[in-house]
Amino acid sequence: MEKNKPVIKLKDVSKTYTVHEQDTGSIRKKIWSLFTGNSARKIKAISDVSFEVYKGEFFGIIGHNGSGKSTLINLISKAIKPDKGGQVERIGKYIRLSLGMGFNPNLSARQNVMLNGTILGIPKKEINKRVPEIIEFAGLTNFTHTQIKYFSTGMKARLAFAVAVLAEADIFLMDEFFGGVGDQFFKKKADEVFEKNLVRGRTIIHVSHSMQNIEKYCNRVLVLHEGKMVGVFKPKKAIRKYLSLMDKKK
Amino acid sequence: MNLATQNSIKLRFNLIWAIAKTDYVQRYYGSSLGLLWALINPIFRLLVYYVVFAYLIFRNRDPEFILYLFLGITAWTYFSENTNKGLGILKQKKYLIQNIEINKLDLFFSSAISTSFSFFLNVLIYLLFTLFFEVPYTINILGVLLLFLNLFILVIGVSMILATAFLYLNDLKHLWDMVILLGFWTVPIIWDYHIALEEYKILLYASPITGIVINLRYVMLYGESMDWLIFLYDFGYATVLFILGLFSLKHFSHKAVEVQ
Repeated sequence: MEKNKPVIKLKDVSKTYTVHEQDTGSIRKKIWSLFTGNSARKIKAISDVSFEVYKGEFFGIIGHNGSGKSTLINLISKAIKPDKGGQVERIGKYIRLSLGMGFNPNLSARQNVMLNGTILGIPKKEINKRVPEIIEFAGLTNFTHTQIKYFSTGMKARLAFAVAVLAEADIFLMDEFFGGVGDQFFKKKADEVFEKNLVRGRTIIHVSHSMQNIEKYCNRVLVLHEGKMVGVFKPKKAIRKYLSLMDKKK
Repeated sequence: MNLATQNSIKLRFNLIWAIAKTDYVQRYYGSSLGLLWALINPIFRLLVYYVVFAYLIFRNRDPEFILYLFLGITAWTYFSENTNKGLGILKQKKYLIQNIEINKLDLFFSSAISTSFSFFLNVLIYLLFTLFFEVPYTINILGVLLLFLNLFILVIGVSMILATAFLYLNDLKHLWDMVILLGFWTVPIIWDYHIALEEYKILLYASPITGIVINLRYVMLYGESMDWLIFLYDFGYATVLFILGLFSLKHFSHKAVEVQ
């Protein structure tokens, strides 16, 4: 495994959002704002962030709510552009793992597994072959042909997790991926599959509030505070920094 | 082409196809007649238009008027359904743009493919209808494929422009409804297309779909060759809109993820 090759590189990255005090999406409000002036203001969500993530690394991002973690994930995925001057480089195909992405309540569990699997880049043959296994893993064998609108939140989350761990990509972006998946029994099973199927040699960016997971899995952790980078540290040190910032905030 | 490229093209195509198929199936999912609605709906609409226009408004119309009407309505419905659906696509499919490596253009391809199922179903119904009339079948009928390609490029181009603009202007949906209403009556769907060819040429050149409707009748109803000049004009028109759509998507669509 080439450990020293950066697959994600951010240099001097900032992101400023333009926020309107009032909705300006209608024609009337657009014309009105010509006379009354624009009530827009700028909010800097991320400020001068630079770091690199290496191939095969499990990289954590922590920070309090509103510290810019999700904006950073959107920048890495290139779903949004950084402010002028900032550079985002990414080598390889990514997937942002999000439970139940694209699940359609009117489709059955089987149909949703097929659709979700395709979205997650799993070859069609592979999904077809593994549908029974996925549904069994989620403990939903008796509900294979039931529309998922009749499922409880837990059932949907279990099904979503069971498909997501088969996703194919070079880089995985995980935003609170573990949150609320099933009961203790399922969580234990899910942890095992997560380690066996996903972690092995993949580059993973993990955003989480669970310090237990951060310490357990991450090689290095970026700490964010009010949109600014505090630094990149080893997990234990990063957690200490984060907790002390939380204390100051209180 | 190496294996990795082949696999990535295959996965991309699978994704476009899966989204298109799901979009189409979910329209009818759960209804007791299911996909049969895809057949019943256009036939019913056609019969209503035919009875109203052939018997109540223009009395003693040629019985072939039903075919004339069918072709106009098929092309127009494809355009209006696609653009209405395409307008909201960047907002509705935000979860895909945000979570996976997807070319935004593919979302528009999926949407157009899903509506194309209905288009081809309508063409099939039309061909069955023609068995009751003396419609000349010639090689020119293959022109329908070129005309479909023209429509396909047109709806994707217009949808990309609309979807990007809709991120900035919430009223666009209502404005577009008005354009669609105006379009229905300014394109020769019900009235005689000779008016657009001879008297009001502005109707032919201003709208990118008038020529397509006229050519569709040439090849599918009269067995004649299409008017190539009109075809080239409409194809060029659609291509320009497609390029403008790509430009707007590239430079302005980032707002789809920035706005909650």
